[in-house]
Amino acid sequence: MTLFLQQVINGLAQGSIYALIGIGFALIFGVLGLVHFAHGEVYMIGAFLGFMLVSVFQLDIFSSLLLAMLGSALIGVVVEAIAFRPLRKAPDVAPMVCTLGLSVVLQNGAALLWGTDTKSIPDAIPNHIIPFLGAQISFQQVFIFTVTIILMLALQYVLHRSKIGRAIRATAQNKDAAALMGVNIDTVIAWTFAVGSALGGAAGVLVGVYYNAFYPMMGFMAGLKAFTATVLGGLTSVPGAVLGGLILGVAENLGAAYISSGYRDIFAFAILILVLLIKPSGLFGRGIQEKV
Amino acid sequence: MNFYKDKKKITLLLISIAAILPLVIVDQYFLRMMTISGIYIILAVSLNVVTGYAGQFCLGWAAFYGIGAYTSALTVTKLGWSFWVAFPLAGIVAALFGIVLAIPTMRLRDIYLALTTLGFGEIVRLVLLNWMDLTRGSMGIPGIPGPTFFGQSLDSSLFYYYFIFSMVLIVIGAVQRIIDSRMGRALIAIRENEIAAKSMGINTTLYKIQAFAVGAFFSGLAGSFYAHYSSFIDPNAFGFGESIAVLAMVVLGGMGSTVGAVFGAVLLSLLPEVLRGLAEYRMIIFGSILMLVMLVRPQGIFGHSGEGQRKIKRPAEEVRSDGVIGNS
Amino acid sequence: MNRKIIVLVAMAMMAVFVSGCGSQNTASTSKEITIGLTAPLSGDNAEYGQSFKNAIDLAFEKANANGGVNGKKITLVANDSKADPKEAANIAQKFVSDSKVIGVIGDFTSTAALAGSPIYQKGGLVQLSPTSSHPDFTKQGTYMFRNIATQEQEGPLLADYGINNLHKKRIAVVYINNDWGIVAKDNFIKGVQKLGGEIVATEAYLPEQGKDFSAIITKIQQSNPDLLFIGSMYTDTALIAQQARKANFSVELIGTGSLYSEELIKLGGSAVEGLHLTCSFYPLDPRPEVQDFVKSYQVKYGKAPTMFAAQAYDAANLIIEALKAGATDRLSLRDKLSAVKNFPGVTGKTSFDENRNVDKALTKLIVKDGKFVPYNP
Repeated sequence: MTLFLQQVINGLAQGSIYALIGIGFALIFGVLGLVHFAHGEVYMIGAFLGFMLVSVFQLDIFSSLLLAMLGSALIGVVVEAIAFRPLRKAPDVAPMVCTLGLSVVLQNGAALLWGTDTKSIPDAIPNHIIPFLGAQISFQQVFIFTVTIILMLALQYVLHRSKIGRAIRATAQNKDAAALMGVNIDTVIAWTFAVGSALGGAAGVLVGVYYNAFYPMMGFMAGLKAFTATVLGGLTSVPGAVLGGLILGVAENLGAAYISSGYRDIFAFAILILVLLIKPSGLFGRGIQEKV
Repeated sequence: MNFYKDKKKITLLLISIAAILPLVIVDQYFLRMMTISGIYIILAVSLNVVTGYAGQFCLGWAAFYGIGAYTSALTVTKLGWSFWVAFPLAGIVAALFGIVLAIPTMRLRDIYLALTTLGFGEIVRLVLLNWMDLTRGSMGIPGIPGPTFFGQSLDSSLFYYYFIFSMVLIVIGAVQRIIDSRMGRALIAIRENEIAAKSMGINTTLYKIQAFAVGAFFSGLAGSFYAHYSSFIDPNAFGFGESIAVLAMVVLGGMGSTVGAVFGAVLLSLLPEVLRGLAEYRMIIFGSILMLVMLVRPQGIFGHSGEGQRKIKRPAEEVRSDGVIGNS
Repeated sequence: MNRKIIVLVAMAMMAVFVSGCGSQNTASTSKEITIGLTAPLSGDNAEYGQSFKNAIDLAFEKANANGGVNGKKITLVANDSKADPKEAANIAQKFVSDSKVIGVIGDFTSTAALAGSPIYQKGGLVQLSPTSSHPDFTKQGTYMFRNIATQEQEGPLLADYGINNLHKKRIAVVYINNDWGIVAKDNFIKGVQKLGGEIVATEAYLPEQGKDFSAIITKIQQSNPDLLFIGSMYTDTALIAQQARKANFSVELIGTGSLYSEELIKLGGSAVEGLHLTCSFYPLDPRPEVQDFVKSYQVKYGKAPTMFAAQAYDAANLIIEALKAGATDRLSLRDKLSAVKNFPGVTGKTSFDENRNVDKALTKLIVKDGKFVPYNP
């Protein structure tokens, strides 16, 4: 029982990270209908920004987190301007291949800039253990849960209570109708990228701090897994991405614990395929209708 | 189509050049590069059948390559079978897996299909990695022998070059036959508008399965060749990166264009070598080229505007039959 | 029209490529000796490949400062294999086709070294790997050499350390699921079982799974071991140690020589205090060649050398030794290299046996006060 509970806790922590990244995918897909292959790299850059802020500029973790989020948001907007906007009229393959190329450029650019060895921040968050029903929660895990919940509440507020949030939701529902209603689509898309990337950047900083490891390749697998989470939740649904992330995190850890840690990544992909075969719209997504 | 005659002439010219090339340029490194491009030409052309012509976006193509390679390597090293049996077997086994992957495509389209194929590709790689007893996992399979003919070893670079050269000709010929046939037309119809095709009585499921089977078959053959050419394989050679590389070749060349696939394959398999001098910046340049091509000419170099232009339907934007735009 | 221009540009590039190949010098310059390096200079394993290059550059620099080898300047041509077998094979062919190159050092990973082997063997070009420990590597041909002790040596020694020195009985194992990790794990477990120890848990992880080891740590914690063997490189080991401490799991740790690096301490901090390992190289070794190497490396690169750097440094000097013994071309380099006996390398006395493997004396070390010191039972 302890093993089970512990793995669930571990899984929730990991899942929160997937959730934060996954929200970005959901927002972007909801508004543009496209997969953003370089989103994992935005997460990675956010992590490195956080690393630089803490270790080079000696800022505290909270300010670094906020600044890193800001930096990631900016990068997200730039990415949209370079890789998506010019290709609005092109076949959908184009922005996807373009972001694929971009992700390669960013990964290797980061490697050139920061070196490929793993960096670390010595104990940015003090290490305490809180016993919990026989298992234990570490302070870092608490930090991750707290930050994630705060960010999600903030996101919900933005999406449902602010003007830009309304505009984003409107555009996600029906771009043309929204445009007819006077919504500036370009601005909305830019904001969507900004928000999604900021969350991704936050996830990056959290991961870097939790595992104390920052390295240029960190975006690749995380991006893929987060994407699986988004699909699980329903490609366009933000709460779905969150739930999907948590479920994926927990499933992976339980699978690793009870079945085999080597096959761990297979769980993620197996879930992906099962979802797509049984209910492609995921948990909360809208159904795909075939129309003539 | 007046440049049809030119096209034929150019093709013949290129083929003749390729045929006598190794006799003129004796450099082994050059020969190796040409042989490797040959493998990628086959991979790109076969992916093109599925993604370019049938419009089924596949992100896990390296799986068939890997399945072919491992089938061939294992039957030769563990069972002692001859290359000449293992080679076609590799294609058949890969084709079977192709059919397996094609089945979900009956109901899935676009991004959902792309993701499923991605998952498939990763699962194949992870199984190859973890099933130690069968594949030796990360240890790989070393010492895969080259083909022999009545006891005579054929393990020379000239043999490999001409073998892949012939394979390339056969594969391209076969693909062109398919494109020009009823199946090819059916595939294009499926790509452009699957529902319309279905309503015209085209058995879309059957054709999609056939497309995957054919594409996977040729890629499996390429895998078998690779295994014997390199004499060492490991699961990581057949991962997501490889799938993306082949996809990039098809996209760059132009989806739905065999010429484009050939061009893309040759360019993108040789480019990293040409750029080797700029070693540190190699991958950045590679990625930038992908981006630039997409930004400047998204239909690929040999694609025609209009081919494969389908935009992915978002769930919310369906047009209802009564013409009302909105959320269903 | 655009299309034709693109095609022409592409063909021009191809022409450049072709001409680049064809013009390899067919006669080596009499003033220079060229040695090749195939190693990951970018990608996941870049830090290790880079340390190879650093060490070899240092060795060659010293040799050239002393008037060169047999009066000739020795130069290094480095190619980035990204530890990818396909790249390694292409690089192998490139080197073989370049008649200036008379010997190659590399690769870092066994899979890359194995991929290049058939080509090096066919081309009659020495491939000396400083770190490839896959059992099949040197069996690929008479031109394959390695100067690292294999896990067949290290595993049983570590088992001895754990069971006879540390008196542990219940041992858990974590290893990286690549060819190196698998072999390390196998040999260690065999050694433990031979000495009557009990393996209570065995967990593997894939390199691309990321750096979250909590699932594995929790699982191992449950099996209650008194010693944990980590079959991995220093980065992952430091992280595993840290995460274990964070999960309140304070078991003793033991690992192979791959852990020897100041990065282990930097990343692991207090979590790796007391970690045990065996290594063919450690900085407090009083031998002059070791001290000289450590100091020069520190001065030139601003950090201390790892075991990988030390191995590569020795590899470079082994090649120089063979050259000094009279090697002038590929075949004689192979012959002279295999005849090297008792070379005083920084990783210990080195002699190649008839299978071109080496037997190295390994030292038991422990991390104490943030430094690697010899273990005194």
